[in-house]
Amino acid sequence: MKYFNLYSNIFLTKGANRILISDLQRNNSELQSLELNDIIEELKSNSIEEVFAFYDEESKEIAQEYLDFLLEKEYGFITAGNWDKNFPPLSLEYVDYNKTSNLFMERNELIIPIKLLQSIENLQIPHLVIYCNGKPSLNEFLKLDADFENSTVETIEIFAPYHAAIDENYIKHLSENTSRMYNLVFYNCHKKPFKVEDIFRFNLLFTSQDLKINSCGKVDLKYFDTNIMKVLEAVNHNSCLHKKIGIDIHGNIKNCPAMHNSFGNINNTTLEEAILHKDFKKYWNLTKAEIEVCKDCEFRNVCTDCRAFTEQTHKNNEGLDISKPLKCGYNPYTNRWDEWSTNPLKQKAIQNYGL
Amino acid sequence: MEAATDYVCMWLDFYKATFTRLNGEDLFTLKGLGSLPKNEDVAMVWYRRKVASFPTRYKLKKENFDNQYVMDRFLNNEYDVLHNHLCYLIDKQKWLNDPATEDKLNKLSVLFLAKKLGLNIPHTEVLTDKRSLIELMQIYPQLIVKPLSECVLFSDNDGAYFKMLTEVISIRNIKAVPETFFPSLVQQGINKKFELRVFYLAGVFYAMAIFSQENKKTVSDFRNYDDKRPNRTVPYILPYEIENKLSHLMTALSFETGSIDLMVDREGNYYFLEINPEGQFGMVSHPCNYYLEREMAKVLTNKCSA
Repeated sequence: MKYFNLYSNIFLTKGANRILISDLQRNNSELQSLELNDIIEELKSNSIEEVFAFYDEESKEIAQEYLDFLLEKEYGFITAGNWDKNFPPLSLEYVDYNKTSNLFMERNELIIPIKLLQSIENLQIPHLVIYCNGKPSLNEFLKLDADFENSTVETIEIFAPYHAAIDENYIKHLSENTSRMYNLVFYNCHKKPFKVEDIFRFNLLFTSQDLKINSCGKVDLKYFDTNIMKVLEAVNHNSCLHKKIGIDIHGNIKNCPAMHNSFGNINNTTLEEAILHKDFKKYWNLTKAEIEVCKDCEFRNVCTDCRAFTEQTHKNNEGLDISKPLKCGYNPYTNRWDEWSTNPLKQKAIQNYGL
Repeated sequence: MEAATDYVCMWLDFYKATFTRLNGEDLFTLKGLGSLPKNEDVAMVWYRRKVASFPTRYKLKKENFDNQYVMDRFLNNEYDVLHNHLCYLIDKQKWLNDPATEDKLNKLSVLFLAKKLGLNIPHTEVLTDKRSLIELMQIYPQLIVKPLSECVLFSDNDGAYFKMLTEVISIRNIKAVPETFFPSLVQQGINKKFELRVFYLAGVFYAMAIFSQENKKTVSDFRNYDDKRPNRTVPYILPYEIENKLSHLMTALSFETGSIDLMVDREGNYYFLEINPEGQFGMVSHPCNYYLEREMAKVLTNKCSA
């Protein structure tokens, strides 16, 4: 007898009508039928010969094709006599030495007050994202980067409006004199100042879109990313808010600047104090398996989620919003992607948020 | 600088351990011997590796290939004396691995020590002529040649690199072998099912299977990477008796940590290949989700408080 062993880093997410096969080693995912999922399930408790015996002559061919597919994709291997029990399942544990991993701020300028710098240092936050309303000068950029010299900050992402001073020299100077800039997006830019080549230390994007803080939260295939750490975080935690801190334009400390609930203002509360608030982490462990509709979606473990803008239809008994993200146009029951903003069922929520 | 070490340091912070990280590069800005770590201040040492590369390359005034080579070797020796001084500054028993054993580890003797302790090893010979090679081929039709020491990287004048890797010798390519040659390590080729890379840490084995056979490109050495379809690497549990024998081997070498290479043949036999006491564990930790950086920090923290 022969046995099919699925490699433990092949991660299956079953949706209402399809499955998503995520290859956690090769960092890609593909959609497949529930029929394939059934065969994989049967192969877990039966030999290949036994599984084939379940099928009549015609279907046997299909079963063989599925098996060939699994082997061709190197999703598993065959052993004789029994499954190889020396291959344990992959641990789904997700742990992180950081208390928080990400600080998302909406600000009018890039310069960060000293008190806040101190909190970032105390909490050892590795990733900063700043959505800036004002037009930052070159010196502001340089000061921001220099303020984090010798700190635990690894990356800084900036979204800022484009203005005429930003030209190739400006960007070159930034690239040569900063070390933590990771991603720069200049919005409201109707004519790119120069041809962007991949020669800078950071990713660079000029977009004509007028980005707003409430432009965030769109759920789309292009944002889905198969990456073992991301997937394991999503299996255990909320992929949008886990270990995240937000600060809105008024200095209010929140889970995300676009959310309503505030845990104090940076003028009178430190970030360290805010995250100790009993409700600060309440969304951190809300997984997609607990969110309405998403719980039946095959993309739930690669999805970015959004708790700031939802369809506002369901709350769980702890009062957490467990509604589907508002800006998701996917329906796992029909497997169709439609434009979310024109969906009549979403109009009430869209109005509530003033989008 | 070195990612796995960075992570171990972050986890040490997480466990509120007090520690100093000394990079090999730091010795180039040393402010006197007095600034080296002092025995009484240190409870535990984890030695990861010497240095990635010297921060400055010292060139001769007049270019001369041979002298440059002598010079580079001289500087390496100079560096080594300073570096090895650390091993004497701090008591031997405070090192996670005994640095002296680690330094003079001999691949060939480790193989025979493993065999003595009951582990299978591929039939191993050192040969110097074609005739003996052909004789050995009568018993083992497939042989492999690999360095007794470590693989090196050759480069040509155009800056292209040539990796030295394990090569297979059989009747098909014996023609290319000269009549006599430099003493070379020759081993029985194993018809492998998969390779195992095992990280050993304070009595616990973290094993990863590497399926390289699937992919023709990497049949003899998994370091021949294929970027598009990298070899499958998945967690693995060693049989108890293999773990037991490996434990004896690690104890005999007084290693608390190390990376062990094994191979499993088509019949399911385990073959011991080698130990790298400075072994990297990032390549096992991440794909298997073992959090070895955390485990390392835990072991170091616990040993200090014990």
